[in-house]
Amino acid sequence: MNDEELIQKIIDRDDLSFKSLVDQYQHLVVNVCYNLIGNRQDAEDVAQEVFLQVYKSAQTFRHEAKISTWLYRIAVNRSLNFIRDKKRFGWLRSLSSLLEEDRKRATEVPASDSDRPDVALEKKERNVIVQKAIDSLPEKQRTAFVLHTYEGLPYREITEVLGLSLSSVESLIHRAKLNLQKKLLRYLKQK
Amino acid sequence: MNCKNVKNNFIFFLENELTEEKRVEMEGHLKVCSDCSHLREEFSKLWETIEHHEKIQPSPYFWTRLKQRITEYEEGRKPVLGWLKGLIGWARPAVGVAVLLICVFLGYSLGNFPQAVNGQTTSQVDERTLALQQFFDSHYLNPLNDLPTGSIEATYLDVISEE
Repeated sequence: MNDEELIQKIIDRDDLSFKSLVDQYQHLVVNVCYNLIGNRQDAEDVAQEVFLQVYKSAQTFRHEAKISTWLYRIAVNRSLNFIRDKKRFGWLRSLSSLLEEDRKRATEVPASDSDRPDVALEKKERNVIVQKAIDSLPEKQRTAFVLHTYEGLPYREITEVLGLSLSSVESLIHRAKLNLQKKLLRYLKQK
Repeated sequence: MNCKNVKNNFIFFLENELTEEKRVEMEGHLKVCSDCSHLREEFSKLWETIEHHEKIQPSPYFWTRLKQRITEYEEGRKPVLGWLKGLIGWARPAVGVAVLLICVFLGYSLGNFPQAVNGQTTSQVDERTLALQQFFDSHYLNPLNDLPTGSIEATYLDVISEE
């Protein structure tokens, strides 16, 4: 079944087809939401909203794009809206400590027989430092960097997801890297 | 290439995004500068965490929860709830009008509530006043001008006693 047929079946309210779509893409959607939001529970809630929107508005899918691109676009928009709404409510800032804890859990390096505990701890600390640096990037730079580096999207697909030109995406990723370099070098100098 | 240029290009060096010429210059500097070489090694360890970034697994209940949300969405769209929503739309102005009418009724009732005057209720005083007025009218008397001072009752008693 190709993308067009799958979407048509979803429009016709075929539950099996919709479940097939969810099974195929839930990993992708949950991870892109998690990479932007940083909290597993929130990422799954937002991912659910993404699929619910797909269910409600499948007829708006433009067949010249891939389903994955469409899902990325909805997931990015929903995630960024969630982050903005979260910042708007000051009392939610207390959850930022939970955010850090969640990042640490998710970026734990699995212990192996060859790893000493101190090495594992160092790896864990590096993960946290790098994630904090990425989280501190401006919104558009962070989004473009995450899509390119974590999701492995080519520049062309990122332009379709973000609705930007190729040169804009290249510029965003370049500046994101420069900013990350600056932050990480500052950390290494202080160390 | 000096130390500052090298540090500004660590990421692009690691990502193989430098031109061949610049890459050779950088490698040459890193061979002779121990500070930059050490810094590059530490920076590489940090940057590797991005390459080894772990993906998370969705919850095993993801589909179950999503299905529940879709069911709730579909139930909200059914006609049986559609008319109820229409009724709720009319309920608000109806309640507002009802509250207004109740307030008007209460206000009118409170305004006509019998009040005590000299030990008599307002309705009793009104009846006596009406009777006196009818008497004065029948005798072509103006209670304010033609009668001596004193209580109206005393005057009335004097008048009827004269009759």
